[in-house]
Amino acid sequence: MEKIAKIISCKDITKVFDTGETKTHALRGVSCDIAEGEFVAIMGPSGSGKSTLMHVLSFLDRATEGGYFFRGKDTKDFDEEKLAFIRNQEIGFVFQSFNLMQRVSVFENVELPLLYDFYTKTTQNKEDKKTNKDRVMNALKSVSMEHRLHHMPSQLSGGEKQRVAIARALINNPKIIFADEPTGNLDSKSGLQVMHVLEGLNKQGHTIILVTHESRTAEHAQRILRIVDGKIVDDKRVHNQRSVDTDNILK
Amino acid sequence: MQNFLAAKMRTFLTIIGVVIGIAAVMVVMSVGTSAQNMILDQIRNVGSDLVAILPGAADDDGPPASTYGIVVTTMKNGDLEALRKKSNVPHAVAVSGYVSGNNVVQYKSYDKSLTFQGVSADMLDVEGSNIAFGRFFTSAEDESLARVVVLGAKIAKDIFDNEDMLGKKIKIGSQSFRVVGIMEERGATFAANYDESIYIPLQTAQKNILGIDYLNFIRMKVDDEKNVEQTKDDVRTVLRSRHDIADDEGDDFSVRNIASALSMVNNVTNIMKYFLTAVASISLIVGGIGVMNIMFIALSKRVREIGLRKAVGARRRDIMWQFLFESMIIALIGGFIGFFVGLFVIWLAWVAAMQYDIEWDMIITMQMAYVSLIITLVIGLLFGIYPARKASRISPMEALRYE
Repeated sequence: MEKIAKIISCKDITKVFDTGETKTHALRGVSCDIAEGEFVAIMGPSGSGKSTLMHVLSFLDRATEGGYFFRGKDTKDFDEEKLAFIRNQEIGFVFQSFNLMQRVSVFENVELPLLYDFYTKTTQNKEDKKTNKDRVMNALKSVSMEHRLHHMPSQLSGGEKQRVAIARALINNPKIIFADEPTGNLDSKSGLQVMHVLEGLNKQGHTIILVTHESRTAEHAQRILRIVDGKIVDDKRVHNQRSVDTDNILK
Repeated sequence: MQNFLAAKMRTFLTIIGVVIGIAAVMVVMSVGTSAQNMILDQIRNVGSDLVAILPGAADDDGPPASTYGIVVTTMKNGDLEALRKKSNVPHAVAVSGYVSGNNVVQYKSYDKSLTFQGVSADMLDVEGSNIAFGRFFTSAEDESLARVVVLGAKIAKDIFDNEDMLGKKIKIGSQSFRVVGIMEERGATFAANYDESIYIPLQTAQKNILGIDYLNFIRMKVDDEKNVEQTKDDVRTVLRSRHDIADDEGDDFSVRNIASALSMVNNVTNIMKYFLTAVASISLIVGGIGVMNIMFIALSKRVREIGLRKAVGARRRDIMWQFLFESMIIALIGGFIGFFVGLFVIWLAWVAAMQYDIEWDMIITMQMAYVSLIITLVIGLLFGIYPARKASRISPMEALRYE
């Protein structure tokens, strides 16, 4: 696969929420480039527009104006089908509230994106089922959750739930992982475990975009974009990148 | 768990429309066909090659006045003789005049007022009845006003019990009649109960008992069913010339075949069919709205899940099919229950028919299963499509909303 330096490139992105009566300017001209393999944190107070920016970058929402180039391609013309493809193949999501389906097991939760993978295989035959199982196992191993395969989400701790959610995000081996306040609902120890997993993924080559309002969490990234009132006010490299002391968190 | 049961109960209540609708469809298909079969059987039993000539005019659909008990005296024995002539009505193979009356029938301790019929000797051929014992009376006996009687199987048993009855004399009114024959058992139709009939010669009945010179009606057997219409025309020509009628406006008689008479009965069963079909349609619509309601509840509970599915790559149509699949499953559950409720009602109808000694086929065909299945799937699709479309348009952003 050709190497594209800039995986994300956006110019003067604005986002206006129009409720009819009032217009809210969530983004007022955001420009930024993110290179493949980077670990970027988007920081800002609540209401700053950091979440809106993430929604636009992760194809959950569209910008009102401005250009967004994804892997060198203008995203303006992407149709619903193409967006579904990108969400399935190129992007993994980690949510603050985990978003696991309560009624099904860990295995089925992690498998979910494979059910919508119409692109890397043509049929869902027995062979694929077997590969699916292997892929789910591998994803769970990479977050050290393989021993919880048949558990229900309600039987897991918060940190374990988030690691399962990360396994789900990894299953299609996406280029980018978007993590929206991944430690927001966790105690500090579980939060560190999750950050450790994300660091590991970044080392394996995944681009990670982390949205957070905690500077301690943001310092795990190589680069921090500060956003205030819908504009990027600061874009700096982290010189002393924090990294999780593994001895501390492993049992 | 209790929540789960409550949801199940609610689901069941809302699909009850589908249950009733499918059951009604089944009943229409089975009982409707059974009723029509019964009528067709009776046409065959009486004979589709029969032509009836009734006194009095009638429009095409309604029965003539004589069937309401109004006495019309315009049809005489001379008409009967004219219709018997091969040169007049070539396709007639047997012709019988009919009169009837009530009188007291006595034998030993038996004493009852009964209906008797005066018929021609040809009656046996006309109606296709058979004699079990003895013989039917002859044309000669009719001409000579012989006092002989032929009894239906059941009435013979009522009067004589197990006694040997041939040659015995019973009293009809004040006159003695010799029993010459017993009819074979034939059963009852809605038109007549053959086994309770008392037959005496036509002219004996007219002159000796009733004191009349007219006929209640004439029945004629045609050589072939396809000649029925031709024969009806022949009959009209003969009677018009005898009654000096110039055109059909002035007819003082009506000519019917059994099929046209029974089409009226058929109409009644059709009305029943339409009514049940209407009930079925309304129930199915109500049931469909129930399915739609269930799907909207499911939708509102799963907005977040749908958002998640879209965030991990589900396309609109994937969500749409997921919802359509579920609405079809729900409709299928209703259809499945309705199918068995329908079978039960069909069985009940059969049991009821047995109670009343009606010959009734219990009709259950694979076609019913197919039709129920197709209707159910269509209901699931039709009423599932709106909630499914709504679900498919949920934004993946919903997955990110914090609770």
